[in-house]
Amino acid sequence: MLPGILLEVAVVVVSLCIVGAVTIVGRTRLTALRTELKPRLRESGPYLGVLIVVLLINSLVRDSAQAISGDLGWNITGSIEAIEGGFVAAIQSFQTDLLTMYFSNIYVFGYVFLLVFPLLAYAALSERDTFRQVVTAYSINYFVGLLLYIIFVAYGPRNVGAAENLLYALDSNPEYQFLTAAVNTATNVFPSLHTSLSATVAIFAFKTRESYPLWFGVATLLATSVVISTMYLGIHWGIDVLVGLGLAAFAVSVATRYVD
Amino acid sequence: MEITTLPSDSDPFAVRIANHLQSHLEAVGVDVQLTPENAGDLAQQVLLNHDFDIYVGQFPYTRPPDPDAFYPLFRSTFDSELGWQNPFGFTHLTCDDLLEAQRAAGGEERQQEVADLQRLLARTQPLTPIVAPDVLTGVRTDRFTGWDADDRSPSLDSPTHPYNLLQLEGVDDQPQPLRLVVVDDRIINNRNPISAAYRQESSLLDLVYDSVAFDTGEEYIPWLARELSWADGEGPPEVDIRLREGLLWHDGQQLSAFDVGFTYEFLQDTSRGRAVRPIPSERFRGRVSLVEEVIVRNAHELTLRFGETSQAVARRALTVPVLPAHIWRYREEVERPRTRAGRTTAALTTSNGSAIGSGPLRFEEADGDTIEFSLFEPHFLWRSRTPRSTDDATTDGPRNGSESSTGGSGSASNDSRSADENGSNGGDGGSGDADRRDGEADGPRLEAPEVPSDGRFAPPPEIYEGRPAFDSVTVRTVSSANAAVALLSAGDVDATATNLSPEAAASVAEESALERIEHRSNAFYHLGFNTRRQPLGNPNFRRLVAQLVDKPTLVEEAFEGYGVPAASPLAETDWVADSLRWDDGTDADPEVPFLGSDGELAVEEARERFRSIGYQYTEDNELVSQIR
Repeated sequence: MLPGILLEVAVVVVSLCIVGAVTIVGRTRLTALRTELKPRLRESGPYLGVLIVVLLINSLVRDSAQAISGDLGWNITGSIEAIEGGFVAAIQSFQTDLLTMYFSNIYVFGYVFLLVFPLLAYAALSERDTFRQVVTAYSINYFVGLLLYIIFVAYGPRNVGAAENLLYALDSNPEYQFLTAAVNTATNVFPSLHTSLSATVAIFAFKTRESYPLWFGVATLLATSVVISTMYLGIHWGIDVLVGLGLAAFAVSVATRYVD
Repeated sequence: MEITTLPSDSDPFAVRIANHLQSHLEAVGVDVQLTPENAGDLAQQVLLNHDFDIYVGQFPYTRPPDPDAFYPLFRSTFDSELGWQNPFGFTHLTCDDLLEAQRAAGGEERQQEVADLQRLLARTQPLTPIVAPDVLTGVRTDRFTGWDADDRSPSLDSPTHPYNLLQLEGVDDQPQPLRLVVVDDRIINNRNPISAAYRQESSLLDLVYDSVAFDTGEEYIPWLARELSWADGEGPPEVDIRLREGLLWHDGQQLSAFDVGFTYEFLQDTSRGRAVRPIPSERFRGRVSLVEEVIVRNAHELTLRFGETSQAVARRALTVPVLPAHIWRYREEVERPRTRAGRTTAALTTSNGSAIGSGPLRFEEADGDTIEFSLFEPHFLWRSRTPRSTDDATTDGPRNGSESSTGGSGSASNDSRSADENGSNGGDGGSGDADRRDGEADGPRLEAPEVPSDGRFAPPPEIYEGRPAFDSVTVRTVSSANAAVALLSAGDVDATATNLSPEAAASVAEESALERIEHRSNAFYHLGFNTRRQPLGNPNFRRLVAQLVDKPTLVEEAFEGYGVPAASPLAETDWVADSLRWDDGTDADPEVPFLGSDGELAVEEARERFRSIGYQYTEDNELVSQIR
């Protein structure tokens, strides 16, 4: 079941990237990229290397980190719920079938596209800094996220009856959970990496709005939708999202300060 | 105060009960947090570390147990032990007396003691039974049939109960792999049959480890034993156990009466005398506490002498898993991990990865999210009756490995051995090197079992005799019940072995090859109180907490009608006390009725009750024991 859904995501994201390449990046930059891609990637190699290492660490230590977290981690689910109460349930009160379908697709497909497309778009820019900064910001997000997941154990609202479980609702998309289960575990909700990475992309889209005015609009819309979807679907608490936004701001400021 | 329970992914019902209790406790001014923990962590906190206030969980017995199961659960002297040994920290001397009395008494007298015990437990509420669930199981009928346990005798709770699997029928004549899906992934990393944090009843490990006898719910049938003879006469019971001949461990070693004797002594003290005080097993504690003395007569025979008890209770001791002494005797080292409230031993903390047992299923491998078992070819359920026959070596020869015999040399040695045996009274010649054969790369090296003096093996229990319809069992773990149903619908598994919510189960019956089977489980949902902590040490307080739970409404709303309310922990057994039967007329708990009506808590009345037991309310309506 997992290979099927992975293929589906890959096909959708590649298609979207092609559309985005044509409409957002534009022919001129694409033609230049054809010859420039290799040298540009080589020059940004160390940054990409760091990201790959972080992602590798993330996937390699996930199980053992999970075990450490289970033994030593601080279960803050109850505290989060005590602080924010019925916030997520209030968001879910606007539930309609159409919204559920929209946000489920955003959460799975829109999010992956949102993360992948900037790599393409910024590689096509003649200046190198933005690409490197984005890659660095991703690395920081993942790394800090992993640390926080080890320190804090928290289940999302859907797991404590504080919200409905809409993403995995059977009549819509039972197969999505094979994807999310392959990427993460149910106790890793604090903070929301969906939020922090989407916000990171949106901030860079704002910074590059002169080069990519259309992308600024698209990224803002997508990022906002992803952020709302994490709560609407019952996966994250409002506090996970807030901390996710903070993490994005931190990652972007560190990346832009030290990478140029 | 904290309510600990499983997350909805693992158990859709427990969280709903916890939510219900949380909102009612908050309504009466008690500040509560709900903390979800996965199955392993929950068991660790509650059973091993005694670090909880209230938990919502299921009773550890999925089948109606003998009332003696309560002995370790509520006996005050087990307070400091780990596992399902009085996790509540409940200390009540009358309760102790009743637990002793029911052990010793028989017939009507015992019934009376058990009824008194139930009334005492209902009055003091160390645990609050809530709902006995009707568990839904999704099965596929295109590869295996005969899932419904109610259609056969004995009926052992769920369709996926390990022993029920042995009775499945195949659609094809060819044996197929049997594929199950579970949400609880503990068996992937830990296969220790005596660990309370990793095991509960009805685990597939029940088929990896055999016991001396098997309780079908109707009778105790000799299992590893060929014969059980109870001593007649007055005084405490005593049983002579004569083992089947030619029993083997999965690693090829012979299983003898020494292993059985070792098991009883080891489960009573896993430190084997190294610790100042015995460190008993976390599981089966009540059962092994029945045994006073173990006398191993020879390789086939041993005698168990029991304490002051009846035969009906004593036989429970025969159902513990028998462990291989040559592996477990090296696990006696005393440990004191941070995650346990007391001392423990390597035997209880080991993950027992290779899981060498003697049962019908042999552990093959665990990989990522999947674990695989194969049939143990030499198992007595399907080996040939006559050890000397060589013509059936390809299918069920008793001393061959997982594939066929190695041919000429194997047969030759078989013949010579049988001849030997007839002359020399089935001695210990079985370990001769000539009889060994190399299995496959990772197959066991099997020693040829010795042969009974009459030249025939004792017949296996009739109902389970013969090869099952499958040749291997694969268990896949997923993250939620919905995922389990998705795999079932996709045809990737044959049955779900997990608690399905009615919503998840609803999608099961829509296809023709899918079937949904419902069965009443004895593993009732309950609140467990840590009476070591205040105010939960106060029985008046516990009773009021119990009265905040609206059991009939929970049955309707949280369980969507799949269950019945329960007032006694023996509600689903024949032992339930008359005064604690659920009265459908009033639909209220006879001892701790809900403080409210039509699902609505009568908040003012409830607060008044808390005041009446000595609590007070602050200006903010917070419950306190004393206004400062």
